[in-house]
Amino acid sequence: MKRIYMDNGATSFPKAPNVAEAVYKYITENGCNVNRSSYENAANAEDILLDTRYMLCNIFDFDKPSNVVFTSGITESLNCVIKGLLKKDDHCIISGFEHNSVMRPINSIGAKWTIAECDEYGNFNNIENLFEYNTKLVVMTHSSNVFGNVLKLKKIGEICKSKNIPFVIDTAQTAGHINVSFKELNCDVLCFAGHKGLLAPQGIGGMIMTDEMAKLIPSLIEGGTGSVSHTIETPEFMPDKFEAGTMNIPAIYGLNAALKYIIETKIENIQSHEENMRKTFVEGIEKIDGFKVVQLKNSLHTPVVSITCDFMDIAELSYILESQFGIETRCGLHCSPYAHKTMGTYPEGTLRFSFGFNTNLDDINAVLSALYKIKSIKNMGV
Amino acid sequence: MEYIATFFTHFGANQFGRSLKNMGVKYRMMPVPRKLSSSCGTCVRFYCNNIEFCNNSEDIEGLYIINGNDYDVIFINK
Repeated sequence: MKRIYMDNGATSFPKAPNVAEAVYKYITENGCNVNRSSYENAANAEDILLDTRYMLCNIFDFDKPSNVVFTSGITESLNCVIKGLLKKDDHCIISGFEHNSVMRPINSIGAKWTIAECDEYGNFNNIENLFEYNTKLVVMTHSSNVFGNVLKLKKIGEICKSKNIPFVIDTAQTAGHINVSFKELNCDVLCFAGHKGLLAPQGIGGMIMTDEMAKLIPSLIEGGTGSVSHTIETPEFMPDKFEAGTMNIPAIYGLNAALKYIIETKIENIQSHEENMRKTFVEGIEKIDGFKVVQLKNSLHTPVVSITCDFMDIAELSYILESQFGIETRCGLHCSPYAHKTMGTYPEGTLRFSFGFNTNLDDINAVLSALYKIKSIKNMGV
Repeated sequence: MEYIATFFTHFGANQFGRSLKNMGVKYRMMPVPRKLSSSCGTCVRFYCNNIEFCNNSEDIEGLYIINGNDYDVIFINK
């Protein structure tokens, strides 16, 4: 039975070509730490890091590689930024599609939040009225990890800029799938994951920020940076301020290879292919009774489709798809209870299919065929 | 002539190394001589005839010419 991977929203598979080789070569041929010792092999590893920062600037339309920070992943990035900018009883504004990587830090701090609601087309209304005297942050996902709708953030960024309130964007589901411009979105901090649309290994992510934010946000983790070692104070300069401890260098080598592939392939081509897959899937599923695609009437989506089923528990459906057809999906709340509340699918959740650049028409047709068979068998009362 | 450039940040040293590479200038990274700084850092050691381009670098903390066992200061940025 052929394996059909439909869970790229959780993590991409397969990774970009050359990623595994790059990680292997680092571990077997280089293996040096960075920013510590100064021999040639260490310098070569440092050059890969610098190269990766430059490519991230390219991908995210950003100008300052020293303000590109590596973290263990986007969850750490969001924790660092949210916990650095909010304190108890502060107020923030979020979208109705936030992941728990945003909700849980806000909640644990004891900060208050207001959800910026949008209409069925994804348009935000009356954002300006949501700001309160103690609003310290606006943080929003760029795209829902459950429903795939890309949020219209440019205008929100403009409003934040006019009010001098930091605007933080979670690009976990858009980076590598669609063009993401730091400048166009008017954001102050952009957090990214390496292992999803950027096609790199797990364990690497980061954040990109303005000089102002670099000064304002305290470091979450402190320790050795290989710089200003004569003092016990964490350096204020970038990127050392946020990169204490040894980084996941194998994963950065993998990210480096993945970014080269994405830049060569061009994000426009990735988006076009993935959108074709998504459209074909949505059109196909709408022809099968018993399933409903849950989505905003929004012209721009990432390759994520959530469905409900009116004749079977979605966990059973997910199990049958995997055990009998080799189709790997994710069902439930996808760590985003508020997104489900927004779309009316809480607490049952949805079954999510998330595609990648490697997904092809044969995969889509195989999934549609499997869903049709499951429905037909159910109709026969089997 | 052989020079040593020290930097405010490790990132700056890497950036400078990259620009030397692009210019075709032979260089090596090395630990900052203890005579120059007690902070554990990386400096760039390079051969060059014309060091005018160094004047424009905001990353360089200090530029020195290697003179036997000594390092003669060319400039220090504060």
